[in-house]
Amino acid sequence: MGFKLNIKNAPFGSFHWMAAYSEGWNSSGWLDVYLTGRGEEWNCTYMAIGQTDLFISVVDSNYKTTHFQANLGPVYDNRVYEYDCDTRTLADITSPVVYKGTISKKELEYDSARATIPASNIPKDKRGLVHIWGRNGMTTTQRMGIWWEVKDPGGVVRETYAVWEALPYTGAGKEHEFIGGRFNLDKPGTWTIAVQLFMNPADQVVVDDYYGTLCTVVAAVPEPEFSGFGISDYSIK
Amino acid sequence: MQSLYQRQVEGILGALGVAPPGKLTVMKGETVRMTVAFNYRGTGISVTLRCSIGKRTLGVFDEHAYKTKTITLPQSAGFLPYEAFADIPTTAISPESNYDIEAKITEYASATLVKIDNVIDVLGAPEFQDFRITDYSKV
Repeated sequence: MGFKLNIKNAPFGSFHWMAAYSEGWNSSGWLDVYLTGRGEEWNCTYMAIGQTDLFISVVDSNYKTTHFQANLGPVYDNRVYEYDCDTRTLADITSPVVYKGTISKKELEYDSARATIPASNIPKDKRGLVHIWGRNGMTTTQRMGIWWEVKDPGGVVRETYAVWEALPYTGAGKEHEFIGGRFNLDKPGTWTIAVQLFMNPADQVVVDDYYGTLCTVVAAVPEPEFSGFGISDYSIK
Repeated sequence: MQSLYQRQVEGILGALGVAPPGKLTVMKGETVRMTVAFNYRGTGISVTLRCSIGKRTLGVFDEHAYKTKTITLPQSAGFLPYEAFADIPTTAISPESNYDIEAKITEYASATLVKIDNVIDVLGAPEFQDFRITDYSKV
């Protein structure tokens, strides 16, 4: 809860600064201003839910105002803000989160058998079912999402699957298995799949992908069968 | 009993092969080559061809001589024609007429077993027939 705030380009001779919002109830108290014009960072621990009444006051050593600006915001929790005394603007300088995750395993289930993707020599007319595992590479629990599209050898889309995992989501370093719907592997040749693994549903980010062969399907070989078996001749060798 | 002429003719026919239900006469100790033809489809497999000579009594085949042979069949989605043979020694067979023959793929006997009755005569010791004086004259 809360946010971080600092100032820059404080007027020469400034000695302290402070900020407050929520009608002044949430206040930093006096903080130092350095010769560089930057201040001592305020690590605010009060709740910030979009308040727009933030004000910043900068004073000299006699607490005489050298700079003042009100009605700044909105401010939110878990953000990092920087106020520029020159431009009187409040900027959100929060570092963007780098999401990390991987497609850790891919399998094709066909009837009761399974094979690692890319799979080969899958008998024709089996029922295919894709399993994809996503691994959370972050240090915090993440909600992962998946999208994939399966195409037959003719380039026709045979399955599209997209979902965000349900609670309780995936812990740091853990895996989540996504299972699609069944489709008929009814054409011999090379089937393809495009997969994207996502994080951050609010502003989804592709963290890993796979574009390539799903499997090769071969014409089904029938069970051994004889026909027309007969003795055609017999002779003295 | 056959004449020598008959025996010679059948010997020639035998060398060429007798088609069922023709009769083949062999001398005890000779080898009978039995040829089978069939169609096969399915996975690649090795199977056992078993060709036999024997006597069938009340539907029960008493096998007197046989030969097995391993046949390798490649994978095929559709039926393909094949021919195979086995050479059956007749050393252990008693000289007798009207032997029956059988052939089958051992592993798929119910689908392949074929039987032909009364097609092999086996001759034993040297045998004369109709020996007589046909003429006498001064030389």
